[in-house]
Amino acid sequence: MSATSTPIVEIRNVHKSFGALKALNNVSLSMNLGEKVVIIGPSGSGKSTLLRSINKLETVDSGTIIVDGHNIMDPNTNINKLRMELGMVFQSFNLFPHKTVLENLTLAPIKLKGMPKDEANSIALKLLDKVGIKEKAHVYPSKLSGGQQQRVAMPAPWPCRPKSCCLTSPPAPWTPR
Amino acid sequence: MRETRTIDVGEGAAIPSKSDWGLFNAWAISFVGALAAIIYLVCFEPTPYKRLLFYLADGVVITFQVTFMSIISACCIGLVVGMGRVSKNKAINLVASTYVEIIRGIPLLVQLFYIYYALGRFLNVHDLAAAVIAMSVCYGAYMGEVFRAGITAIDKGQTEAARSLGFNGKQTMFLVILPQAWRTILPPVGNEFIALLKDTSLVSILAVSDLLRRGREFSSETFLYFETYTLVALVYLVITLLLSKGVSIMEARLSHYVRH
Repeated sequence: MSATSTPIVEIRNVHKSFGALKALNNVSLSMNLGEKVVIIGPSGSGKSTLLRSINKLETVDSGTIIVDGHNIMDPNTNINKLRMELGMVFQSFNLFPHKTVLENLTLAPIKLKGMPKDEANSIALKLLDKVGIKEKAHVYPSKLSGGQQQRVAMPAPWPCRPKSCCLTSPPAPWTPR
Repeated sequence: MRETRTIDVGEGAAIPSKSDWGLFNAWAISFVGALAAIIYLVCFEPTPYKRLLFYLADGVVITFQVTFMSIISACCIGLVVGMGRVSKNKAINLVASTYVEIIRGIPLLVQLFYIYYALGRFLNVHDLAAAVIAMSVCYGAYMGEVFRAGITAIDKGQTEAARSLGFNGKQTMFLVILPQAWRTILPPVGNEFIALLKDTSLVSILAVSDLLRRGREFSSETFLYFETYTLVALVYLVITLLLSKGVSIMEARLSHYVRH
């Protein structure tokens, strides 16, 4: 990592409690563009909470989180725009069951970035090819096995070309592709 | 993959499920029976049945009109109320909940009287309009509850996935939540449609010449009560069964993404 580049995600003195349970206790962290960060800890230690906080799916109690130069706690920050830069893969995949695999990948770039459908489709197909399930592009997620669903979930945020990708806890069958 | 939860609301009529599409099921027996009875009566006892059937035809048109207009507006009201009921905005939530509480607590017949006669003192409401307004206001509240249940039945992860991609609340609702909720709530919504169709018979107490009122008019002229109401009941049955079949076909077409 280069020390000179501005961090894409910067977390300073973040606290978050769920009732009496303290999930995040004074967490500070900085991630640079192109950097890979692995957060390790036992179950329930707040890994997911931290990642969800970066995306403002959880609101932290105190501290600052700066993403791409924007303070996400600032009410003037357009969090929706910022979230497009933060890809997120969920533990439980959360694919949209009413959309085909291809549509799962192209919904956001078409609707949010105004990307032409053909372009979005070709990007999505390339990604599906990379994870080896291109032939499943037109089926619905319910017809996929767990591992296949996971392979769809992995590239799901990428057609939007996010600057950073937050993976939450890659589950056990994560294949070395 | 998580299964879509189904919500069971037992009114209206039974929506035939795909599994009992065989020849001998309750739906087929009732439908064929009712249709055969009508055809038999009209063909073999044309007096009074043939005349009666033509007399009732106008009423069927009115019943369809009231049903169709009420379904459209009740769905719109229901969608707004349902989204209001799950809204995080406390004021909107309170307004929607209060509406549901008040409307559900007053019988439909009383609401009909209220809009037509009580409010008739202040404004002149056309009888057909009064009927449609009362039906929509009432069923809008029922439908709102179905929509609310459908929206809350969708996994929270779906909202989070959509929001994390950068969709705002409105886009999440219309692109991700409602298309899925629609599938879940179709059976109860279909039930509401059928219940609504049957309840349109209540508008006959206003000056709306629906199917039941035409029957009343005919029987008070001819005193053929048995013949009249037998045919009225059979015609209602045929229409209701057709509607329930329509709902079940729609349901089957929408279930393409659910694993069976």
